Amino acid sequence: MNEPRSDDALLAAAAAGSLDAFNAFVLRHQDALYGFCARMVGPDRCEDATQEAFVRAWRAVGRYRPGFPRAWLYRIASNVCLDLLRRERRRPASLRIAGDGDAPIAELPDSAPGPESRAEQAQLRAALERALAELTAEHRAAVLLCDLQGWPLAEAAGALGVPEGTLKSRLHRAHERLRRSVHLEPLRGA
Amino acid sequence: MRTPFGPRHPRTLALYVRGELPSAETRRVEAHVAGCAACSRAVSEERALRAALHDLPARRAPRSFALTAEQAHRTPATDRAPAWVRWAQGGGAGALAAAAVLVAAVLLTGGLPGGGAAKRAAPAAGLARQADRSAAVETSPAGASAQKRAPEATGTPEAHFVMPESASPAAVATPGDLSAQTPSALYVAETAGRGGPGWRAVALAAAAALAVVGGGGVVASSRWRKRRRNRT
Repeated sequence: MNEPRSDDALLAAAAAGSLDAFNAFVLRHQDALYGFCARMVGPDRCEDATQEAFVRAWRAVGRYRPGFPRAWLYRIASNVCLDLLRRERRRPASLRIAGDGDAPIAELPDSAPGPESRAEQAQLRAALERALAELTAEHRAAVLLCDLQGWPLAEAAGALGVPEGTLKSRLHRAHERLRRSVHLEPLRGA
Repeated sequence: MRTPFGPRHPRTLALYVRGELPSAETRRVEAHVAGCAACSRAVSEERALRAALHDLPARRAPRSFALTAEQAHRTPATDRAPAWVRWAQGGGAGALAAAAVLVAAVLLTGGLPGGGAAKRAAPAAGLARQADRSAAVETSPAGASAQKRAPEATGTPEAHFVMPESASPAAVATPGDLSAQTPSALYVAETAGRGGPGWRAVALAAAAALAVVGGGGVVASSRWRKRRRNRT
């Protein structure tokens, strides 16, 4: 059985003109990128933003330098989203709460003992989503990559085109605002 | 006791929770947090926030975003603007802007260079011509009336023609009345640091060159992009 081709190999083939290779790269990343765009620009424009990001990526694939394919793709996507937000000069029109419309991949954890606890968790998530939407676009992008998607700081800084120190600062300010907006019970342990 | 990781160093605690501190620093923070209630609480809150964010549901793309052949054809990777187009566009715009700055600088600092600059470009020939002309003006009434009409003739005609006997030619020779001076006065004026074509003329020549080059670059790159749009 063939090993799955790396992102770099797919992009190299795409740069040589293979649309199939590029589309394999698209299918590999489209869920995560769609989620990023959805929280960046809101549900109304996230499909357009995602598609535009992939189109721009295809247009730019000849200039891609192997090494950080994911950061390269998200840099394009974050530029698309920021352009869109600047053009419209508005925040996401409405905030899609988990389970409200787009089907979430991850359901609420089953560890919740009963319906009351589930309802509390759903409320907490809704509040967090609202607080996320209230952040500035730059702060939101930092939180989405570093906290929701769990990227290392260096890779996220590359994707957002800022120095690591700037990213840390954005994350710190974003966390402060989120903590003020959402009450969380302190969590013990690692 | 000063809190080393509390309000003064909140980012250190955030990096600690994120696992992005060097191991030595991690051990130092761990040791401190174990004995500091404020920092311990800050760490717990940071962990809770990160866990809550991480638990937010992922989204599934509602459709495939794979590019169709038509989409790919419309913006093929191999059909992007080549380097020369990008350079011509960016560099051309920059050259045009620089030309505009040069012209503005010339206009703001005294206007376009006049004939004086051209005369100064050839001092020897200019001197001879100036000397002839000033001699003609001194002896001809028609020349005197022409001098009166000249824009730089701010004083009476006599002011141009009568040299005070108490003053030496060098003392009264000024750039504005070169045509009225004797050859020796002209020579002094010409050699008083005003020789050469003048910076305004040089700046205008540079501006013209930049405008030609920049305009050409912008036009060429625009034509290339227009041709591509028409093709797709």
